[in-house]
Amino acid sequence: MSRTLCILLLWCASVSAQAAAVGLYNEANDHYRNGDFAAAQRAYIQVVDSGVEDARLFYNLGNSHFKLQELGAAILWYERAYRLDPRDEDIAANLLFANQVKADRDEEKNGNVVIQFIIDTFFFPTLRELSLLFAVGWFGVFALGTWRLLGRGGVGALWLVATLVCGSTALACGSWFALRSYQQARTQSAIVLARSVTARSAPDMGQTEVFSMHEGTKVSVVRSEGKWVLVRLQNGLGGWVLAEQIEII
Amino acid sequence: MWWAYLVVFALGFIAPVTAQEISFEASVDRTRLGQSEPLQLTLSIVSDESLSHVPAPTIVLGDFHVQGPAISTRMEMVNFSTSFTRELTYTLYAKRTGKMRLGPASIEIGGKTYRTRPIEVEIVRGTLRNSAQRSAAAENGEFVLEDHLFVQARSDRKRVYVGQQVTVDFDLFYRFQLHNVGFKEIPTFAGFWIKELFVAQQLQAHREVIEGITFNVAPLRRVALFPTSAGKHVIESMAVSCEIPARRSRRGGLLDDFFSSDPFFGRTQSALLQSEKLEIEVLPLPEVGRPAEFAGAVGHFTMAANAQPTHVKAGDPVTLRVEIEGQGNMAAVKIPDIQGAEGVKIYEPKMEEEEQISNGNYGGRRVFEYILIPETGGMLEIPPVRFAYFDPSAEKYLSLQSAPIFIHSEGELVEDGGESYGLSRKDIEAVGRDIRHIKPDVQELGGDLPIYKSAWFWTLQAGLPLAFLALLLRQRHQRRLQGDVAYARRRRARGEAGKRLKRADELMAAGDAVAYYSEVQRAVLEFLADHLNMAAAGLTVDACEMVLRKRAVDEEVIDALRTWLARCDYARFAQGVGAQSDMGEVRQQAEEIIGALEDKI
Repeated sequence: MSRTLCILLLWCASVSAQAAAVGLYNEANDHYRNGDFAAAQRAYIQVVDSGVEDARLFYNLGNSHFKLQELGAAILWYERAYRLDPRDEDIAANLLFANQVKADRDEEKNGNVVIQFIIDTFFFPTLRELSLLFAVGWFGVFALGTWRLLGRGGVGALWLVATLVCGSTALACGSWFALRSYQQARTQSAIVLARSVTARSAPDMGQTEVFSMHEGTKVSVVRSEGKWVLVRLQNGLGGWVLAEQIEII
Repeated sequence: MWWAYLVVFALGFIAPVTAQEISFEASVDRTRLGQSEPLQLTLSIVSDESLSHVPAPTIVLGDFHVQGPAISTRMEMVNFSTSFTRELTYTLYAKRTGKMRLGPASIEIGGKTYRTRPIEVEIVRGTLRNSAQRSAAAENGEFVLEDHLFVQARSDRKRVYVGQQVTVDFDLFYRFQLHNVGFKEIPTFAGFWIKELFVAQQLQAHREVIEGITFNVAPLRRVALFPTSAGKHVIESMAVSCEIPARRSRRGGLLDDFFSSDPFFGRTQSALLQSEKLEIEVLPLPEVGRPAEFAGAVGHFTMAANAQPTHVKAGDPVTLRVEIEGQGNMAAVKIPDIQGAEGVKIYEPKMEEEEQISNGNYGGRRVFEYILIPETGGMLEIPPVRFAYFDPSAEKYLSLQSAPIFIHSEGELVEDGGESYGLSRKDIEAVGRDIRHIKPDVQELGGDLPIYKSAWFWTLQAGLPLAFLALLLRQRHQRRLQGDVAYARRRRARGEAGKRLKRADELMAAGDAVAYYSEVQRAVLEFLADHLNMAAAGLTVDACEMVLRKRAVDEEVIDALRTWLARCDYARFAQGVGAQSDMGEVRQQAEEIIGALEDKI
């Protein structure tokens, strides 16, 4: 009895928190529409701090950063929104636009057309799509197996083809999902938030300057040591920067 | 031409070269010649030093067409003294007749200027047009080239109005074979708007008899000229160069009778033929009777105008096509002005042009396509299209007018009057870039958690094979139950025993002791029989012991079973012995025996 009450109370708390977040989000939108981007940004951040993960929220927060000339933070939030919903046109457009106006130019894509095509294909489906496709194929395999087990029909060619299709879909999408998840877990990206950052050859201010980069540049995080982080650019160039100068996506 | 060399030689002899001295002389091959004949002018510089760095001499030859100079240099050694000679030879064709002075030519060598003496030459001319001169020349036995070869410019009119066409023909008249005919100088036709009607690529001659003499006549050029201003205009002469056969005559003249029987024409010489200038009197267009719509068109024209479609909805375009066709300078046919159409918007027309030349007259067609947009409903009238021109043959202005055009328009134009009828369309241009606007308000947030991040998704995925496995096992179990009697009995044994014990409980509650013991006993024996797949009827105490011993069941269990069975038999047959508490104990023991047997068998 007490357990049920406890669950009920928790549920009520969650519902009220959700309602508060929605209210705050809509309020932030009003601030934005009225041109008060700083107030909008504060409200969006409050919603984010309440633990809500929503592509629209991240996107709007990115917009408010952009309007306040905080290009690095804008790109960071667009990237986060993009991860949640890569098929959203607005998110992709604003991310592209913000990347076009930042100081550092992005690296050219791989010159080899075939390799580039393979890379693009590998990253084309989202994890959500892959997981759904896997689930469909997986369910199909067992549904067809059950059908066969219950003796609803013979082992016809159609059944065989359907089982093969479902099985291969599940296998391919499952492997693809696993590879992508592994890749995503292994590579940690970050965005430069400081106006200008100088990367050094070792985690110390007295070390040789290796390269400098600017707000909004995307880097891969290799490892960290104290308050220093080793980052790598797309062209393979690596250097140590202060952790406070970048933020992981 | 030998005497020309003699002159040069003599000049050279008269002015002997001494050391450090330079002589600069001019000479001509003759001093009297026809206008079409070439005159060779030679400037010779003689020095005792090399002339390789000597600059070109300067000489004014404005009255001549000049070819060259051809330069020759030679070195001579006479009596151990060396002289260098440089000769520059110009071929000149006179632009006019009469006496002319050549030179002086000048040259500056080593800071010193040398000058030649001027040479007087006389350019004579004898043409067919001057028959008196020709006959005089013929009587004198003098050969005049222009009697056999000339270029004539002819105009169809000498007196025209401004804008009226004058056709000028330049024809080549010749009586012997010509080579390398080419245009040397083409008149500029200042004061005229020009349209070339014909330019000869090769000589195509017809025969023409002029004053009893047959000529080959080849048209060279034909131009249509439209005077742009009133007054006297001069058409400059045209110069044509060619090569004619030459042979040395008996009398030492350059040319003799070209039609003599002597077929030998081994050499040729160049000649330059020039047409006479033409004078055209251009009259201004009369001021009297000039219509307001007159825009300068002179000639003869017709006009047609029609609109399509004539039934439209308000706002839909109508094409009005005005076609002006005729002879005259088409460039002077301007866009007819259409005004005063109420309720109709008229756009600037698009023009198409087509040129025509018929019988030497230049003309053509201009089509003006207007786009009309009816802005109101009803029957709309487009005023007649007017076009005026001056007819030079009738010497008066003529005005053309189309019939009024009616357009039946339906409805009213809803458009707010903008210029967006699709006529002035152009590509939309981006003038600025910015980020896209924020996402709208929401009813709920946080629904974006990916499905693959939820636990129930993976639980479901894992549950699928487990459920399938369970189903598979159940399926196998069912099949075995159906096909394997021993298995089925064994699986059912416990359940059946339980049922019997329950029934025994009911009998105990009813107080039927005999039936109770019987049921309890049956429960245990049936259980054993089911477990061992034997008939329960044949299971006596001994049979039970034997079977159980075969299965290596503990003696303790066998003893307990035997004792219990004996107790049940006793109670059944000695009615009334067993109390209620005894029945409960028997029931308890039955449970224990069944449990023990289940584990051991």
